[in-house]
Amino acid sequence: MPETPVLAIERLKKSYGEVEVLHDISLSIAKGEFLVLLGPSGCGKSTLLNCIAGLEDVAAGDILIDGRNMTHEPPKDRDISMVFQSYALYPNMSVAENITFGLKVRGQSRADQAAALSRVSGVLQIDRLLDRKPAELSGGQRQRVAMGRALVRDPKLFLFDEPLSNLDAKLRVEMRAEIKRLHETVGVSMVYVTHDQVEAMTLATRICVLSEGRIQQFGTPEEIYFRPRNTFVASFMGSPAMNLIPGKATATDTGTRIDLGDNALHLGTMTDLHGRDILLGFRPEDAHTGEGLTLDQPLSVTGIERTGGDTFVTAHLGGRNATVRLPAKARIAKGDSVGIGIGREDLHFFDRQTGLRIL
Amino acid sequence: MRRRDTSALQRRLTTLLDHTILVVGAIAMSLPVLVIFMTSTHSNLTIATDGLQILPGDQFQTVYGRLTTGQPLFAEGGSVREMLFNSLAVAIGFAGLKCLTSVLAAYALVYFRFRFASFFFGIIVITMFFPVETRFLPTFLVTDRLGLLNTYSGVVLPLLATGIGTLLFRQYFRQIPEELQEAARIDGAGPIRFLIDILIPASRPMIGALFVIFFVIGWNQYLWPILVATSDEGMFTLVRGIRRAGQAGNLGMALAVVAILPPAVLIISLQRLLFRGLSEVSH
Ligand SMILES: Nc1ncnc2c1ncn2[C@@H]1O[C@H](COP(=O)(O)OP(=O)(O)OP(=O)(O)O)[C@@H](O)[C@H]1O
Ligand SMILES: [Mg+2]
Repeated sequence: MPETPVLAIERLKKSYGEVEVLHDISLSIAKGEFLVLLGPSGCGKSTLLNCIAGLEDVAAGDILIDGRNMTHEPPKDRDISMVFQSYALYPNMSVAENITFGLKVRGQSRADQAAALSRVSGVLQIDRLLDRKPAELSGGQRQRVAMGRALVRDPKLFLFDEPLSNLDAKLRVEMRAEIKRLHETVGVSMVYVTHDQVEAMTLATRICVLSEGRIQQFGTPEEIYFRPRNTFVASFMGSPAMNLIPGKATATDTGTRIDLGDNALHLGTMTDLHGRDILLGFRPEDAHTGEGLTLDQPLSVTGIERTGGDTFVTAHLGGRNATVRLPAKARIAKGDSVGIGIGREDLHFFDRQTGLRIL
Repeated sequence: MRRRDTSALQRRLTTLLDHTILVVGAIAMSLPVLVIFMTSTHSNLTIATDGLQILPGDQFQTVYGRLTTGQPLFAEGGSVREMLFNSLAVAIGFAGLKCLTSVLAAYALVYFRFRFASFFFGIIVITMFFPVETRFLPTFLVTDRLGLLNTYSGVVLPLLATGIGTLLFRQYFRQIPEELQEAARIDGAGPIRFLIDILIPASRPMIGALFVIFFVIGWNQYLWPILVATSDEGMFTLVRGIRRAGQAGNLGMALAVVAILPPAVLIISLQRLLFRGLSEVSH
């Protein structure tokens, strides 16, 4: 018998007035999973999270938490807790009071509150801060307290809305590791909103990519990264973004030829592509000098960017600017010609009209 | 090098200018208070012949002694202590109730998305254009019908009906992040719990600041308390007492000095709170 999903969303719709901002969202995750809702600003991530939390009413569809239909239950009865982007700590309460407020409201005994507090403050290493007010904490400390407030109730589902976006880069990496550790040790189920793909890739067991209120792809980080379902996901994931070069596929004697205008690529026979207008996709890191399926013409380098660990080379290809990642110490200069090859399995083909993946 | 010198000089000149303006302003503001105090220590004869005084006179003991005896100052009764108590009752009652009603109204307007909220807000704001002075007759009639003439309630309640407090608290609440309320909802706190445990404590500076301002407004009420106290001298406030004693005499001036003290003490001691609360609104 399959386990009940800890969260199941079925055909969810949400409108603000006349405007529908979430269209037909369906997804589900098993217990202990780490779901990341990923997408550009304004795509509806927070709205979806707030619907799960019960902070927003939904127009249609169902939200099931651990098998129970919670679509119309108030937030307090959903067995969830939430960490907000602004942390939303109660300014007048001490750290300890902030963390135990939810327990106090629910009428737990003082002894239970104290026990829960010491457990959580131990896990998050905030023992020394318990008497302070939020205003007396650093950003990272506030972040920990906000997580403590969520952890203390031991809910079925944790919701995070961009919890790291207010931290500086170094702290962000630290807290990211911390959240990952929490997930692994405490083993709770999480839904995490971010627009940062690195956060998504490192934390998630499952990613839901959203754009304009629709699910673009729902899958594991590997599926999302290595088999993007459409050009939106392909170009959203990865930095620098995947190269998408317009081309036309035709049959030849020996196989399939992708005509890129000023260049071409020859492949084994791929009948699905024949006669179609496509976008040929490959990631900058999947292009190599002189390995794999080589482009007919060498590329003429128009720009070089050395980041220390890598060298990013830009060149014209099929009327677009393609980016290729080369080793840090690659000896190359503007105007040089480089022969570029790409592994067959690293090529992505999308329909140019629909943007959907063909192969 | 020279450049540095001129800029330093310039800075010093600016500072000098700033301070001159502040000093002149401070003198202009406090001089009348000083003059009133000094004049109140002179005999009524001196005041009548020579006018206002800037130097101390010899009647301090006599005049202020009269105030502290606890004896009624007027034939109809009304000791300083009684008047002080009345003034305090009106000012504290007014400020306290004003803060309470404003907080509740603003809370409803900001945190409950009910229909016609902006319509009700408009109605509340319109009351600001009708201070009690513009509606004496109907208000007096209503107060009379309610049997509230010559009571503290009769003095305070009609004064409450202005929208300024609601307006200010509404602005203040709107700049408190919505996520605070959402966090409270997830923690299981209902609307009343959120108001009492989170919103009001978080608004303490603002509440304190408005309390001080309303205290001063209540304290300085003049016409309405006179109207409502139709018969009873026991209802005299200090401000009313000044009028009764005659502003031109030393007793009236001494009463004025006494009347300035409580609001002054309140404002000076809560200065920091006042500035913090009011500056937060504008952000
Ligand atoms: N209260 C509201 N009233 C009307 N429209 C809203 C409201 N809240 C959000 N929206 C709209 O819903 C859409 C989704 O908003 P949402 O806040 O979920 O985006 P998001 O993906 O979280 O973006 P961000 O990364 O910027 O936080 C946006 O187009 C936004 O304009
Ligand atoms: Mg958001």
